[in-house]
Amino acid sequence: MTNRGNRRVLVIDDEVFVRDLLIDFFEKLDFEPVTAADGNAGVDAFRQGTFSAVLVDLKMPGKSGIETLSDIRAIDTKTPVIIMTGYPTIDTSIEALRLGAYDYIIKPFKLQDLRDIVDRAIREQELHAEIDTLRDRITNIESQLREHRAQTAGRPRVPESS
Amino acid sequence: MSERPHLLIVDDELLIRDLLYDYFSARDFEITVAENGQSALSLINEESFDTVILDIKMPDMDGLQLTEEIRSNHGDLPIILITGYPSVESAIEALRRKVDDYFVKPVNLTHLRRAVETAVDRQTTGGHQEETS
Repeated sequence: MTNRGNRRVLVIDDEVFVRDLLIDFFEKLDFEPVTAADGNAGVDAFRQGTFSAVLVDLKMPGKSGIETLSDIRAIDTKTPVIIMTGYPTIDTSIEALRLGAYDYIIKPFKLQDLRDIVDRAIREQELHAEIDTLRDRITNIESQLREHRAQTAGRPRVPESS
Repeated sequence: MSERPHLLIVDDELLIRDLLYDYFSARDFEITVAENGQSALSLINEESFDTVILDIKMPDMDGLQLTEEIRSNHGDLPIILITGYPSVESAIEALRRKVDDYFVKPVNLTHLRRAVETAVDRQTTGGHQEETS
């Protein structure tokens, strides 16, 4: 089970109907949705906040979904970004793959499917964060050990009492 | 550092295997080839590879199934898919399996080499920030 409390999701879509639908959907799931109506506003919002996941529409006037994904990836490589589109193409799905999108979903989609994808994305992200923390801890322990060895290297050994 | 990157090339078409073998061998890669999914899996279990190039459409096990197997047992070993039959569905499946890249045949070899180099680099650095020495 994913604990969704206080988690923020960024929705970038030029269609007000989709934004409203997703605001309602995420609020019911106890997320805090933030929306942007175009790619530039979406990237600005992303830069200013911390999000558990980002949903980006592919076809928007101005900055496209792929360009938006690329800008987001330049800021942060870990936050899961889900591309949504009513106009799937081979080229954009390959571009999304290359830019490390978490998923690429075709509109209209079932809200239950979106919920599953977002939950899975958050779980994976948390696992990765945990692995990174453990890796850092190991690095710290190793460096402390090296330091300790260096400090005790020249010292004579205390004879063991019989 | 001095060791050549080890590539596994999996394609049922002899022509493609030969083409990629010649191209990457001439560019200081160590190459192993397999003509189907099962032999590729055996090789991956026995040897260590830096990147795998897989054809999607193969008779016994397609490249996406093989990717699934590799992801289950060998984590994030870099995988590059190539296909003569691209589709939105297979590209989405590839994206979901965290494939490194997806190329449509006829493949631009320079682009493929760049993708392989990026993938090998990711494999060598573990995909994470390494401590600087």
